[in-house]
Amino acid sequence: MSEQNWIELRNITKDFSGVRALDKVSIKILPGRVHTLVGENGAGKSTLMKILNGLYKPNEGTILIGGEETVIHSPIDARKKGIAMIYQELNYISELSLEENIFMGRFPSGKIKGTVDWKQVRKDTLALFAQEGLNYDPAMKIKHLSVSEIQMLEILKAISCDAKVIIMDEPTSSITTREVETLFEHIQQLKQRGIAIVYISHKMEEVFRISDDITVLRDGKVVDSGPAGQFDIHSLIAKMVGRELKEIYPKVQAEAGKTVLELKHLSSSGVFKDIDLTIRQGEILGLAGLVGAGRTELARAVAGLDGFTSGEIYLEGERITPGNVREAMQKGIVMVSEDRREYGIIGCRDILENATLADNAVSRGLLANRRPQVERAKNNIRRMKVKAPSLDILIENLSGGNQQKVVLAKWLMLNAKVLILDEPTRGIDVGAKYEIYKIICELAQQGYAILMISSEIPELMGMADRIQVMCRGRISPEIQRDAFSQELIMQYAVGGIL
Amino acid sequence: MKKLLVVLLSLAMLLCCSGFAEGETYEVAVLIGDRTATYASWLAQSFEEIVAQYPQIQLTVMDCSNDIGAQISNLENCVSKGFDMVIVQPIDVAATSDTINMVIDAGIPVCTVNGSNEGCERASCVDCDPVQQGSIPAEQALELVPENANVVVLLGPSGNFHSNGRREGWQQTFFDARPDVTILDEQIANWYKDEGMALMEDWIIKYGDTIDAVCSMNDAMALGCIEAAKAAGLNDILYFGVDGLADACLSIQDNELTATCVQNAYDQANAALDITSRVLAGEIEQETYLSPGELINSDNIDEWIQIHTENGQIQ
Amino acid sequence: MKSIRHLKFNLSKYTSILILIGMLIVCSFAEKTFLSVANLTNILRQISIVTIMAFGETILIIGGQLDLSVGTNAAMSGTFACIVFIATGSLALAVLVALVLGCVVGFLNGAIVTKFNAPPFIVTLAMQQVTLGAIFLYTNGQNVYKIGDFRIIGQGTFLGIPIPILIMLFIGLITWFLLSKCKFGRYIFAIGGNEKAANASGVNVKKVKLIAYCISGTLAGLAGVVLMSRLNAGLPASGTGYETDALTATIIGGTSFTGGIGSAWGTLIGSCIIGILNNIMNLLGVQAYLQQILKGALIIIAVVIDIYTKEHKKVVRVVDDVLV
Repeated sequence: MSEQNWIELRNITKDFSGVRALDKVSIKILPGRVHTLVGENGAGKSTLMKILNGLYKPNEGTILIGGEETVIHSPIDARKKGIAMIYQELNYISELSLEENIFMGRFPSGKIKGTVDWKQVRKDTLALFAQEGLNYDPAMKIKHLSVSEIQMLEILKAISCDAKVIIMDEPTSSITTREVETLFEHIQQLKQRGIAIVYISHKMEEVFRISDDITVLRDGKVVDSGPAGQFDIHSLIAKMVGRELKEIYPKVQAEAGKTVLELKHLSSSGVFKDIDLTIRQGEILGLAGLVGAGRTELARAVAGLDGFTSGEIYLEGERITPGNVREAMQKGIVMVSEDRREYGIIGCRDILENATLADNAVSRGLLANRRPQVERAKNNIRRMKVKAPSLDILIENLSGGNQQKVVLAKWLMLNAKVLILDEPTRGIDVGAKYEIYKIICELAQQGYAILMISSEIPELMGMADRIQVMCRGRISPEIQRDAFSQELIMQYAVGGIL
Repeated sequence: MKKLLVVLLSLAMLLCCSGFAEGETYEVAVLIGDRTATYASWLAQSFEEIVAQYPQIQLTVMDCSNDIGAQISNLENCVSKGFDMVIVQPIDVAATSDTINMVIDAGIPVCTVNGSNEGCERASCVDCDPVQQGSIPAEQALELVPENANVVVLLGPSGNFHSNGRREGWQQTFFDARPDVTILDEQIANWYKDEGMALMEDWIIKYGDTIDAVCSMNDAMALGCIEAAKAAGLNDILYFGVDGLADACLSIQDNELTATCVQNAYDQANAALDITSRVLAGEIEQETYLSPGELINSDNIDEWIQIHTENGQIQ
Repeated sequence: MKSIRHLKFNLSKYTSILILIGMLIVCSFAEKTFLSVANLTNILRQISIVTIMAFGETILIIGGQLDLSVGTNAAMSGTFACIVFIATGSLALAVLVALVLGCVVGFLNGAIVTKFNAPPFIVTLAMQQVTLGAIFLYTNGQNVYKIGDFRIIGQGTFLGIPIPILIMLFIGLITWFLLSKCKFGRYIFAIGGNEKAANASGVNVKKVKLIAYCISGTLAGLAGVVLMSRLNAGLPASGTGYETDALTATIIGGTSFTGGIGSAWGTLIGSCIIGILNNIMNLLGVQAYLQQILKGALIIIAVVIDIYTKEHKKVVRVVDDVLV
């Protein structure tokens, strides 16, 4: 293994129609080490990686590979030069087989030009699988694999192209905790082979676990760069957001009032069973659990999006059966969905329209945008501190955090009693997360009964008054704030106690 | 459940099909090119009416929706269903001739109607000559169109056999004989009244009252021009069409349309059924009948109003 | 720099109007009669029928829906109106019958699409056959003549303006009002933009879609009345193909085929662009076959310009000024 810099980016500058995305960024990527890029959304991480991967051309600056100046023309060219990228949204064709997906775009040619040598494809695929100790059928369709298995395959694909650098863009955003462990083991193996990893992540615990080097980007500039040892979580976050955050979780203990929402033996066949829980006014109940434990399904049933088979829902002592979303909304139960793109926002419409949609749906009258409604919407958007030049900006042009604030503003229009938050900070960068936490605490103080679902246990521990854990459709007894511990929650989540 | 349904349906279809096989009647299929076209509709109606005179013939009229593919597959279906004879109004003679030959090879005689049997000469044929259909109104135009006149020409869909033939008839009879006449513009209006109307509106903007005559390859487009001219207050333009259907005759009666040439659908259906009955009786193998075009103008309009009224085209 | 960004952002909104203005300038130089009041009135009258249908189509496409049966629906409703007028002599009754018939067809489309989650393309394509078959069955394929005073709607004028133009503008105004001022419009945009999110926000998606189909059907019925009275006959075969023209006008007018974006105003402009193109080519006497090529080319150019400007808008996304 040579100690020579394998890849170096020098003074990279990139403009998009007058907006500077990267400003003289220089980083060195060393073989056998994990180099993590951190920064808020829009800091320039993705742009930088797209330049390295040949998708964008820099306006200024040079790329050196093994000390030699190089121009990377396209992602295919990047792959030839030993740079492979694994995107956050995995690229695969679900109806094609494993081998076809692995060799897509570089099929070995058969005797006649333009044909594929399928025998060679099969041979190479099997060799690759054998080398990694995998036991898949190469002819199996890729859609039968889980997300993390497909991710593994992407890494395999990169290895098969003799990659020197593998770029991983938020690889843990859509896989389970256990799968993360497998991924980290693989990364260790890759390091031992002398492959450099460029790792992009928002999750601080991960960053400190896996990194050898860390580079912090802010507003297109390198703020700090060095071995991981010289950072700690507080200084890192401070550098990312450009200010010192006093605390990560601005928890304010609210005074719990009367019971607002009560579920008794709520069941939905095959999804969740015998769910009992209570939330009081001003209280945040945390709902933990692994992906697939039935948390989202429970929330959807309470919010009227899906039905349930038996059990009772009481709102302020009165039994209700929300048959659809509108009824739940009118009664005072609203839900912020985990999948903002799919259930939260209308991307091609502006901020005001998004913020007034739910209010339109439950209020009387035929006309939209009457003055009092617009005024209330403006107030709520202002209260959420949405950052945008004007209200007629399309919501898809906002950052994830600002989109989420608009979604919250939308639901605040209804003066609801119960607020269900399903993964409210997913895909939101650190600075904006803090603001969302603050808003949640404020809403609790204001008297909302809040059910907060999250896969990040520290987040729940920081925010909730009580936590209940779901595992395979069942729910644990409640854990009080003073008894919170990551180990206990994890034990419940994997079914160790129930 | 689904499978059971399929089985039941297929059984029902088998029963229906076999039910007709008995008796001494002949089953004859009539494939109409496009029943939404007024002429084809008149043709289909004529068949349905005249067949009453042939008790031995059981007629099935099918529509091909102006789709050559549908017509070809309908022809193929006629073989598999075992019709005794097929009468077809070809949408495009060149495109269907091979299939018609295939039907004849399968032992089913064919008679084309309102279209030639070019390329499938073993089929009987009832047709009229599109060139003649253009020439007949053109002859009338020779008499009526003033010297140094300006005319506009409206065509059917691009490449259409009848449109091209009629235009050829106009060329031979009128335009070649009258070098004094200027063609201001010549455009496609796809046989439609609304498209003819829009074109005429634009022409009136451009040429004002200098248009003396409209030479249209069918009546509907000419009638559209009449509506446009009426709206603009132009009353002394001559209009020539082809087809001679009820609406055109009514227009001639109202002194709007000048002249048209009728392609007598009743006559064609009559001839086709006559040939069919004789082929089925074994009297002949093949026969070709050319239905003559007839001029309709204000002199003989009452006679044609009478015919259309009898046929139920005018109530 | 900020002002430049804003200019670009707004450019895409006005692509179609810029094309329209460009065409007006070029055409007025190419042909002196083009800019006359008579010709401009003529163009508006010619586009009125397709535009009335296009307004309904605009609402549907914004909502991510589609109606391919508007042309034949117009033919059916219009022809029935003629029959009713001849039988009763009542213009009001005839128009009412057309509107109700059109609405019924729209309702059927919407009911099948929402009830069975069926693809609108297939359902309305089938409905195209059903409506066409219905009117041919009833009239036996024959045209309806001698419709007398029925033609006032299509050929008459009010205060010197042809009635079809007034109807078109009136419907345009209603469509604009529905889309911009009413909750219904908000719902339609939301459903077309993201149906799941609209549902999760409490929008009664099925009801809104059903209403949209009913509006489209009713407008088709109205267009049928105008068409037949303009042609001074009930022609069952005449509406065929109008759905394509209505769709083209809608798309050229900036309505996104993927839903969620569009306006009544844009559709009117889109329709004007097509109308002007047809008109100027006839005025200039452009050869018939060449006309077809040019029409196709225009659609491609308009769509490409639209996509181009939209893509450029996406790049401009730096929004960090705190809202006041």
